[in-house]
Amino acid sequence: MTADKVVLATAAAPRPPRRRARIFPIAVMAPALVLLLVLVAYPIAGSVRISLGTWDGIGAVAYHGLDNYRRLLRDSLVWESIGTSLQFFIGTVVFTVTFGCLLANAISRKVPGARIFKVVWFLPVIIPVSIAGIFWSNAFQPTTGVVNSLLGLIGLGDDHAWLASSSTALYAAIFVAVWTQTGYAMLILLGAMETIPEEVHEAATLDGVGAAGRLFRITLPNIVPMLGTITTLTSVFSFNAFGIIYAMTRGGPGNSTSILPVLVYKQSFVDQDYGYGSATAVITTLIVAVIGIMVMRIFRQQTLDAR
Amino acid sequence: MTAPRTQSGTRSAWRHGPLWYVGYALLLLWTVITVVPFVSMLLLSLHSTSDIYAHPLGLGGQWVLSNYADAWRGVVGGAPLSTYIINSVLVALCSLAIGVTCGSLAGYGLARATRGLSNAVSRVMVLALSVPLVVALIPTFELLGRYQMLNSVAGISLVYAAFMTPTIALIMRSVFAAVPRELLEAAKIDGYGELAALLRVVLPVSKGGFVSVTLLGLIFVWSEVQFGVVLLTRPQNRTLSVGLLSFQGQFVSDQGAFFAGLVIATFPIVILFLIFQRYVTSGITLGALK
Repeated sequence: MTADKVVLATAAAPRPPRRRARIFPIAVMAPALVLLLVLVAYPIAGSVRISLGTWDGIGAVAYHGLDNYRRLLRDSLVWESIGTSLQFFIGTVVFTVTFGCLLANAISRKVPGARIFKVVWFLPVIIPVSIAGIFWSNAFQPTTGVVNSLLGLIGLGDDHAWLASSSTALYAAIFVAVWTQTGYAMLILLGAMETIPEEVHEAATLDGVGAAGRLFRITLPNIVPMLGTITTLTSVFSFNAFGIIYAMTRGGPGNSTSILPVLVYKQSFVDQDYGYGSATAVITTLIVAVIGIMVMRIFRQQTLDAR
Repeated sequence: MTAPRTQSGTRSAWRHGPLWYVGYALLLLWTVITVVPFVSMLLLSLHSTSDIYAHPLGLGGQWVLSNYADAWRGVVGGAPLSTYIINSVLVALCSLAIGVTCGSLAGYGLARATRGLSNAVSRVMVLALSVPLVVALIPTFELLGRYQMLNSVAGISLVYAAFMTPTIALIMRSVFAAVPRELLEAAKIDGYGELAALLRVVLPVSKGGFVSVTLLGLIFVWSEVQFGVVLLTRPQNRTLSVGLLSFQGQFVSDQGAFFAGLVIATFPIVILFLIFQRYVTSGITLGALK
């Protein structure tokens, strides 16, 4: 833009009221903030309140300070569940984001059949997670399940009791979580990848940069902000995966797949111990919030570098 | 300029290299893993239980349709599948109307606000987004109960709208941030105010973002189980994903009907997605704006 054009533009514009420019963003954010205040912040405060006492679901809360939290610290079930949740979280995020990125890259590089792949790979996302969980738990059954039947066909045996063994049940659950979320990550990342000008890729190709080189030197640096978003969303998803776990294993065998939301459900709705369940829910929230902020910090830092 | 160097061969060499074929084979493997459940549930829904146990891949035995009638009637003590489907549609429409409107407006605010304000509100959004649904469960049940909104479309829709809002806001922030600043400056030169610029200039070029967040919101609502179980206690008010949980236990001895139920629940939204897909494909590509 040349200098005289700038002058022209400034003169032609109706003097923008500076205050209005500042108020406008606040005004458009207000409805969302009200919604969040009433239906997210207020209930969280409610959970904190209930976590400070005993509640049977009907009467008043009998407060007794931090007793529930002291009990949590000594509860091996809670510690086990935190460990399970972290394993589930890391497995789900690493595989979902990596696969999503590779699949999106394949589509944006227009491999043969890319248009069909894009539709097919997104399909698992639209299945309700409860149905995905129900289906796969059936598919993982020994001898009668589809997974074992297919493994049997290629000579790997058809009698693996994936969900009945505490050493494999969590991996099966992570598999289903990744299965349901990868298409989502792919679609989001693809949107970012397609904003990269094709000429950049062409120029790199002409300079002899291979496919892997272009993925790491052109595509990834340009989609860092979206990588941050999708990593955050997938992390949160992994702590909300109640539906998958509940449909597949109900948290078992033993407690081997009891991620935190499942434990909270058991404490509250099975043991009717709402105060204790609320305390676990509050701890869960703190863990998730820390992870969310960490992820955003990491990626926001790189965002600034990239721009 | 390009023609001679392209033919010098890097590209074609890469295309036909062994690594490329390995990569492509992995893509095909992922495709199979993706498709297996859809094909499998369809095949198994067309067989009797004894055939399913004899032929777990669903390729042998007699082909029957009666499973669908059994599944449509639903389970004892539940509602018919049609009721669940209608409930899911109503809840999706209401919650999306609220959630997409509030979330997108907030996203635009985030994209346009000063850096300090934007960062502060973003942090609030990330926190709200980082909230595991389970932490709001019991107090929400208490709150909706107080206003007679349990077992109501309005009640659960408001809850779903609130929880999809941060996701939508953060995605739309990225979408709006990708709108070239020059476009907004041009709108100002043309005499548009903030709101007019948003409606007439920014919205048309951000259509794709709207379709995607709507789709993603729909997927969230269609899948959600935790709130559904607690806030929709009567079978006739349940959404599809919640209603189907009772299928699992009760159709253990009737595997054919069980899979037919999964097919009935899955394929309408698959078809819906295939219709939406065109919009997503053309829309999510912000690259069109360059």
